[in-house]
Amino acid sequence: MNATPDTDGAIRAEPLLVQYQQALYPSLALQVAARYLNLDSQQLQLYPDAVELGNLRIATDSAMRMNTYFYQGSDAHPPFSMDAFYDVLSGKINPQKYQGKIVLIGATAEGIGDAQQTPVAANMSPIETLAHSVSSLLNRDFIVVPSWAGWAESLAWLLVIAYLVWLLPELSAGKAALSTGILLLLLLMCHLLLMTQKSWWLQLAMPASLLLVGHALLTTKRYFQTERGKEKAEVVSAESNRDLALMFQSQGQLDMAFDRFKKCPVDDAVADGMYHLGLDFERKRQFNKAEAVFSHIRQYRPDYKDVTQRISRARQMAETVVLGASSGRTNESTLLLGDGGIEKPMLGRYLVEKELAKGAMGVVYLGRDPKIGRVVAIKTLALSEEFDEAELQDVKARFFREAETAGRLNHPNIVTIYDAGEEHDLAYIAMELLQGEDLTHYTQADHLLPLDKLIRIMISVAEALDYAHAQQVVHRDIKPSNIMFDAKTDKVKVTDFGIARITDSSKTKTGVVLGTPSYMSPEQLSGKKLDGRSDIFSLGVTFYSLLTGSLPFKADSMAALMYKIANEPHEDIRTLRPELDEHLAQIVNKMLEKNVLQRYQKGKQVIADLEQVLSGMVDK
Amino acid sequence: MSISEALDLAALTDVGRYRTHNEDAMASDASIGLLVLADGMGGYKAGEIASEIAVLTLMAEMSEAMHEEKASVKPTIHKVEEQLARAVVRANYTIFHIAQNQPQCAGMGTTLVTALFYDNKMIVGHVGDSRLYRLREGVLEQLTEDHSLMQEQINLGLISKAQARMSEHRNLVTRALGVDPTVELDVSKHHVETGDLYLLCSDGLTDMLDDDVIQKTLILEGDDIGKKAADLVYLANEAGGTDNISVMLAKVKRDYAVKGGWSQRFFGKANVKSNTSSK
Repeated sequence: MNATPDTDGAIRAEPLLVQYQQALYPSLALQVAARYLNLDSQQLQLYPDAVELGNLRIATDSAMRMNTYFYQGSDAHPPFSMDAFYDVLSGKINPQKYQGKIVLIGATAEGIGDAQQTPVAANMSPIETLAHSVSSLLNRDFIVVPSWAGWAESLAWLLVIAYLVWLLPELSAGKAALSTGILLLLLLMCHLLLMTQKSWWLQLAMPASLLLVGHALLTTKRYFQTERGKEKAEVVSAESNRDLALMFQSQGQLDMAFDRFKKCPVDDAVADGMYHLGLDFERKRQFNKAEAVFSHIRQYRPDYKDVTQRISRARQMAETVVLGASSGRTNESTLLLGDGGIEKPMLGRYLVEKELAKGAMGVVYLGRDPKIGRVVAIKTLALSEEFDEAELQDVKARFFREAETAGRLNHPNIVTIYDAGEEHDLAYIAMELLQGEDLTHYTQADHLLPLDKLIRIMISVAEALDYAHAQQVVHRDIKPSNIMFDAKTDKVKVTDFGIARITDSSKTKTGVVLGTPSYMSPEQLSGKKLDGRSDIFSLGVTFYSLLTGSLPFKADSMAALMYKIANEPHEDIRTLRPELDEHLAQIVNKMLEKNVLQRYQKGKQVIADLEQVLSGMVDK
Repeated sequence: MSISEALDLAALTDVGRYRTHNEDAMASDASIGLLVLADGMGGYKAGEIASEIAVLTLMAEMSEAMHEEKASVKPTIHKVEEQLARAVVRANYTIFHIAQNQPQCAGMGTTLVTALFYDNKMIVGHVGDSRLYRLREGVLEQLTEDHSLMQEQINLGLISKAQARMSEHRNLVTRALGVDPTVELDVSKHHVETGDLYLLCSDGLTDMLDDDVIQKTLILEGDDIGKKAADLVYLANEAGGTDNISVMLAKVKRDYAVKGGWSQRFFGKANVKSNTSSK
């Protein structure tokens, strides 16, 4: 037999001519084929890349080897029919079957002869290999290595190397895996398709394996690099994370604190911080979370303090608590009332009944003067929380001065201030408890007030302003939410006189402008000293929005809004509500006059003009 | 060239002459070229909390993000910019959340100015009236525009700069971290040159000292930026020191291009141009 295995021990090629002592002898397969075609060795022609047998040209490599095509069969249908010689001898098989066919006789039983490894089978008997070779020859199924194969293979190698060196390091892990996969598939598909469809044999499997190995190496290297980078990052960011965690913990943000602690390596300081966090969770009766915290500590420091006991205790508590209280949350802002109604707290001489609302400056409570039974609203301001100790004295003095100023105002349309004082670090103002609601609701286009009612409200507010301005008190924050209206009694009250000023001063140190200055006057925006005419402008804006359901100055940004208030005329109210009286439009325009000298100078002037409109309406 | 070898950093903060608390916070991480300065606001100690959270959150998030990025593929400057914006969003949300839930922290907020030096460029992010200046070839230039009522009024021509100094709204900022669930961050990218000196500061410095005084102070003292920072704080205190004064200085000693893959080197060139023109 003249089979020559490849380096991996498999047989893929068949030498067609074998050199022996300076003579070339045709191989057995070639001889069989020649016989079958009724040709003899005289009709063999030799070329550098082929052997010609009669008209049959067989492509070979330079060593005159043909790449055998191995036929794929299955167990039930082997590519070549094989019969046991014994069956033929005993007459079991009709000899007719072999007419016109090549019959090869050889040993196939296992253990006899050398088994050969071929692309289709791991151990094929030599006789079968011969059958494949002969069939390849006659059917011209031999696999050809095209002359450009070397080039193509080199190109494939270069491509893979270029990909590994330049492209792969640029890609993220996911993309790299995807592109390597595609490239690998492409190479193998090319290899297979060329082989089966064109019978061309290109060595693409080797570049493909290089691709795999290279990818594996590079990703491993990258993985280790990333891990090292991560370790470093952990050291650098651990400090920030720990500080953040401690800060969150001190602010009662336990969940946030835990999140940050989890990012820190558990050293002594972190373990201690987390231990206290766990205790905090216990105090808040959030036992599930306490357990999670203690478990986290135990994971890294199994013997830390009494974490193990803590965990089992937290677990027990978590189970029992679920049945009882549904929430263990305490609301610290209502601490004043938090003790469960055993004894109602006092503010000055007032008994605090309940919380009414939370304002920008502090909580508003409902209070009662037990001596005379008067019910009041108490606005509180946590002075020591709002201001530095250095400023505190100054601010306190101002607070009481303002409260006193506002307290001197005695007018049916101004909320009455009864008392001001300081207790429990809280400054407070006790004032008339109002019925009804503020006017914000009526600034919506579909909830506008009837015209006569609105004008009467405006007259009441203008009266309040006229009175206050005469006492040299400027409100500074006239807007619908500071005007209370009781629809049942038609009573109007202006609230927060003077208090707006205190709120203001607290923000002038360093603060943020809260809300939009839609109701502010041009002179207020530019920070000038104010007088009553500024309130009249703000009342004009209020009037405008209550008439039309729309603000006179609107803009997307604060800066644009301020520009409009200072420079641009507003839209006439009659373009929004054409049925309105011309005089009414003139009044609004004069209130919104940007030049203070051309504006109404006094509330009285506004009242006079409004009353004229009102009488005109009654006449009709 | 790694970033930590390319920058000289100095930072100094002072409570000033009138305040009892220092509500400013600042931190830097030389290994990623990050500087952060925040000026907190809010009652009692809430301002300190807000500024501290802002600074720490940025340090933690950016340190994590940059080291992770560094290990694998060198990120583009755009990606770094996104990371920075994400960290600011996170800080904002955190402060806002605490301000909402803790009565003693209600209404707290903070300004923020941050500079991240990366790949021969600098990404600047700011909210509020803390500023970043650049001294290049002896000329001081303010690279950030305050988000303050005063600045808006000046822009609109409502008041002149001289009037602004007298305005009673001098310290009102129109944007801050932690006052709304979302925040608008101004981000810009700048080309950095060797020899540039960058100054991050709180309004405690700029309210007290005119730009030309700052410029002169920065030019003096040669390369000793620690001394420069000390001088600035000293002068601000001499001029009144009504607020906390914080100063951070970064001197660029050499270039710090990121060694990326060939494609970044190739395409990176084109990016530089578009960046410098964008701001």
